[in-house]
Amino acid sequence: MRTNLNQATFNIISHGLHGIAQEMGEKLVRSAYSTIIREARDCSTSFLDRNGRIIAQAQFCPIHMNSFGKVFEAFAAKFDLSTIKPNEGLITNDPYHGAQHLNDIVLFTPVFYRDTLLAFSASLGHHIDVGGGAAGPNASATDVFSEGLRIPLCRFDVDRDLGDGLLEQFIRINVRPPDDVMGDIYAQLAANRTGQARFIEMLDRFGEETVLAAARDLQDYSERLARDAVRAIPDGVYRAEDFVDDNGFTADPLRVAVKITIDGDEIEIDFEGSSPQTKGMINSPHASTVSAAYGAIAILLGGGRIPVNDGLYRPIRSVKVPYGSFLNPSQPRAVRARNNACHRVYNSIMLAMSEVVPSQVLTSGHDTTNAIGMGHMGSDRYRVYMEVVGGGWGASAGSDGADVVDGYVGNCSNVPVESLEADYPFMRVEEYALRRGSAGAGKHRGGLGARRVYRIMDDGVTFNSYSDRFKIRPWGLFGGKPGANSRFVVERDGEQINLPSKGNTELRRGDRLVIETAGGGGYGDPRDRDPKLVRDDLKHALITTDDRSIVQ
Amino acid sequence: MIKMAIEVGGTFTDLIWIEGDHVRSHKLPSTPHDASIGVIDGLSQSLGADLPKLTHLFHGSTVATNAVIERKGCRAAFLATRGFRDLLVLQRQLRPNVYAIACEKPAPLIPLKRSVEVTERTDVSGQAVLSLDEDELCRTIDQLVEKEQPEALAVCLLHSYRNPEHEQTVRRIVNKRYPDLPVVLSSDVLPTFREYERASTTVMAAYLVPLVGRYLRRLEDHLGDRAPGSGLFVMQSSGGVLPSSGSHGRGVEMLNSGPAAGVIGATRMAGLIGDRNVITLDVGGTSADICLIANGVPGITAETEVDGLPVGLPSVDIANIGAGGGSIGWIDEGGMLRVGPRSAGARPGPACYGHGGSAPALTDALVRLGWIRPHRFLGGRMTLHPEKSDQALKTLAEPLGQNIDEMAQAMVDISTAHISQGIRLVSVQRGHDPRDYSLYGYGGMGPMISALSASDLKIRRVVTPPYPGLFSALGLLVADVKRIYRETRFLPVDGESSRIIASTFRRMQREPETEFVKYGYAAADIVYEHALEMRYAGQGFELLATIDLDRLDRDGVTYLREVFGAAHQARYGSTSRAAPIEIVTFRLTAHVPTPSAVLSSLTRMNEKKSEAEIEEGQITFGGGKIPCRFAWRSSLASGSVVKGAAVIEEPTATTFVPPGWMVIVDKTGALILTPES
Repeated sequence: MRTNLNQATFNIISHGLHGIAQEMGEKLVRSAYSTIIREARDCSTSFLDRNGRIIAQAQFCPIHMNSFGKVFEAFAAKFDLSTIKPNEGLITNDPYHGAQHLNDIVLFTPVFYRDTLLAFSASLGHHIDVGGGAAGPNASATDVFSEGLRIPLCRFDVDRDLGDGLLEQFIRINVRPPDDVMGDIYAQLAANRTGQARFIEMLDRFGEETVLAAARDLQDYSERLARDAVRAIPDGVYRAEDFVDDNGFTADPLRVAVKITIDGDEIEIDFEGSSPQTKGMINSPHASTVSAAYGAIAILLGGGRIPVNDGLYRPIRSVKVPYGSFLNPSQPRAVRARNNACHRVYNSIMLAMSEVVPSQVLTSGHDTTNAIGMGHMGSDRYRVYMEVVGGGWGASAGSDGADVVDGYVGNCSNVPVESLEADYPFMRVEEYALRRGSAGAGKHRGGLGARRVYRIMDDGVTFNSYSDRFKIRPWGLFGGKPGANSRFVVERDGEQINLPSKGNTELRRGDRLVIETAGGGGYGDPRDRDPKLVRDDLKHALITTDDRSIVQ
Repeated sequence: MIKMAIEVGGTFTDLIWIEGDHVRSHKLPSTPHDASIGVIDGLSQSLGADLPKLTHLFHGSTVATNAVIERKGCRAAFLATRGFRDLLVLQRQLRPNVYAIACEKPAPLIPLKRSVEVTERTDVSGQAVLSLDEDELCRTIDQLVEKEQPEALAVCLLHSYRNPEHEQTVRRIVNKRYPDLPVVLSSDVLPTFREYERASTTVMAAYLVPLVGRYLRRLEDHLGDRAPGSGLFVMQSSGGVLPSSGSHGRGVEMLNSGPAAGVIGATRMAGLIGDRNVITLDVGGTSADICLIANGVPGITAETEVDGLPVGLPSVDIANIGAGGGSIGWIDEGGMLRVGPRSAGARPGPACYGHGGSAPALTDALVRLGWIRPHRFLGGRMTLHPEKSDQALKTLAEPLGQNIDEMAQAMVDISTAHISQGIRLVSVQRGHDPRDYSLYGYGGMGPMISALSASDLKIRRVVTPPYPGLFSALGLLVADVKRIYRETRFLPVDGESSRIIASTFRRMQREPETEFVKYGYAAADIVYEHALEMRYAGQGFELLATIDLDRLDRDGVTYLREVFGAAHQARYGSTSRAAPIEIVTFRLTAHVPTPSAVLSSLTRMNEKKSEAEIEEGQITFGGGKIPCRFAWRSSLASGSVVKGAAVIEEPTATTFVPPGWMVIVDKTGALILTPES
């Protein structure tokens, strides 16, 4: 430890700081209005020092969590934050100033102690709708303006600008379900205030100097563990590439190329050679790309044992993302479906490192945010549904991939069917099951994808979605087989209509919308699989006899 | 006439009984492979020839919880609506740790090969939109029985909380074909929405049916032979007891009932001592259980988990923290000192037990600091080896460059902080200020930590009740006969609400009336409490508000908005004057109160006191040696005052009175600790 805190105090404050971030997250989920936050937990909370360095964050969505620092930098570049007042806040959703896609609204609240600015509590909520060309992802969007309301980096006064004030009124009139969106923004504010209150209690108890010293020590502690983990990887330059299926307009795959340099206890990451920015919503803003790279490194180094804060990322010397590539597009490209590219960032890093640290990597899982959205303009109000349907997780040296979980960048839960049907009377779920036979065989098999079937109960429903791994199958490693592709199908009048991975489709009453998500790739030669596990999987009909023929 | 309580814990089985004015207790090792053996042995060891005088046996047991954790329940099968048989594997799709490579969901109690489905569908309004295919059901069940020989069948059909008809038809059909196969319906176990949570609870119920049935039958038979006419009552996670006849098929309601019993004991005891707002702190060998009692009523939650699997039944709202006397100190790879959650348990136990444990446990730290005196531990019934504590602590102190005393104090501080964090969880995080509460410490280690934790949280009143080491057993003796009934119906709060609420509760009341009469109570004995789980329309979580039906009748919507608004304000710090409110679940609690005479015999100061036994000595505290008084609890008369630092010893627990605090012995025998100033 750098400072002279005693062991107990350091332990107590470290856990206390993590507890603050976690309590903020629970508060946000509990008081939110939209299903996407309250049931699916698509949100994140973080606690930063006054310079914007992350002290602690809650375990929610990784793609959000690693990016609070980025968006803070943008605020600090625009405003003199030393003049911020206690009743002010910072808000934005602008992908071109440190945020991610427009649905993710980031809110910072300054934390004052004895009239001095000491920290910021921050929350990010994925909002169910922010206006734009579709009630959900707008697949025809060719610029960020057609994706919805863009909230610039704003410094606002809570009392003046919310309620009847300009900020709230402006947001309200530009979004389809204003009560959900504002309800969720208020939930974010409540979460931030909870963080503020808890931090002040901690300062009262231990004193400012001790708490700040412990926060610094905690960052150093993570840094130490992270550097040890990097040092354990042989020095060298490791490369790999993976692809997003297409941009939704043309059939060409989009390359994510990565070069990772391990040099002692430091890492450099370079995405030179990745595809240029493109038409449609699949570009990934710089902050998202960097956040994905950080998230992949966090898994690689620690697998959850290193506290996640600024220190964990200090060994990453640089992340170079060529400007003008689809991983760092120029304004005003559309970016809603940036998670496709972000997942390939994870995948390419895993693939690159598989040759040197095979036990620390995963095969490709479904690794897509299967954003399933529907909009319906009912006689009473506009209803917007959005859910992330999980798929198979990648396999690893130690275990099979889990069946039906969200991809790397998120950790969204499903929405109970009984809750969904109460909130969205225009649909009924007829099937929600494991997608049998979708796993890639291997010594350790990939996870199974999901199969979900919606019956559409009314006309005028639009299906708005983005997904990936429709064409390029989730790959295995070391002889493991790939998992099955994802697919969306509409069954209408006995006909099967294949839908693209990214699109907006008009649905009719009586349609059956079938969502099948990809399975994970296998790890290791299937012939090395424990025969008992094969028999078990067969007994539960999780694999098909075709798979069995591979292993016998 | 003897009333007895037997609480089977993981390590010990505790007995406490009342005959006339006399209260006695006994403790023996539990028999985990068959808990009923320990119970039957305990009965004969404690009562012997007096067994026929037993009139009431109140029983709490970890038998259900252990069966789930160790996966020792029955070969149950699961029947779902067509399209949903994988529900138990799908769960809520969450990864427990977003940074871990391998991600494992909790293993379901029923594997896929015993999960089947049937064509049927009820919609959200309760309409059957697809009728139940009875022929298909028969074929499916026949096949299932032939191939898998299930021992119980859990049925969870979509929206059955709204309309249970299809589930009931399934039961009728299956009963007819397989009269010996128990059929457990989700609409009986937990008629509330969210299918995975309801299915998980139903499956757990089915999983426990044969085991709990066999267990209770064994005890009933034993009592029937030896103490004819006596009644066996079983503790429930809701904090009430039920006659065993009402518990056979409902083992799932026994989960975590031990800690619940302790909370009920504390609630009653607090009523007698005069505390309305209490936080309970039950610390044993491996973990701490914490519960908040507001206004004389313990919190009840419908969201608990056992081994990662959700249980949606209303249970006493207890937070469990991995901190106890056996919690082990260790240094993590980043060089941070940690304590727990791994515990030395009872075997080998802390190093000072001398049973071969070499890792330093919290108890070792307390022995080193002198707060636990080796010759007085468990009233002197067990010899401790302080030199082994020192040895163990040294393995931590040396690599961190600290001395043994510093290390021992650091372990106490870290454990205290864990517990304080747990107290924050049930208080601050839910909108309650701990400073408005008294902290009741019990369990072997609760009274040791309670005042330290109180100092952290600025709590100014700490209580060690009588019998702190037997508190769960004591709680059994004073628990009401009680059951909670729930029903989900999505209803807007509007002009119709008063009428609908009154008639819904009237209808729901028929069930306890029938059930309690079966137990031998008159309908007039039953006391009802009415509550609604509500939310602002659009929110995903409900808040509970107790409803006064007379006020509802008088003030209608205004009253509902007021009580819900208050609950929302307390929990989330905000409330809306205009947002529409939705009723989600009706909750009816029926109970028959226990006679209060039982409690007063438990709190009578037994004998006339001789001279108070107080020794002067020394302990290590906060880095230095300080003088300390050591007092034997039963020698302290009511009204005695001892100033800290002090250690109050008794056979089952030790109360630590830090410097700056003092203790007064209450007329009930409770130790009341307060800061001196």
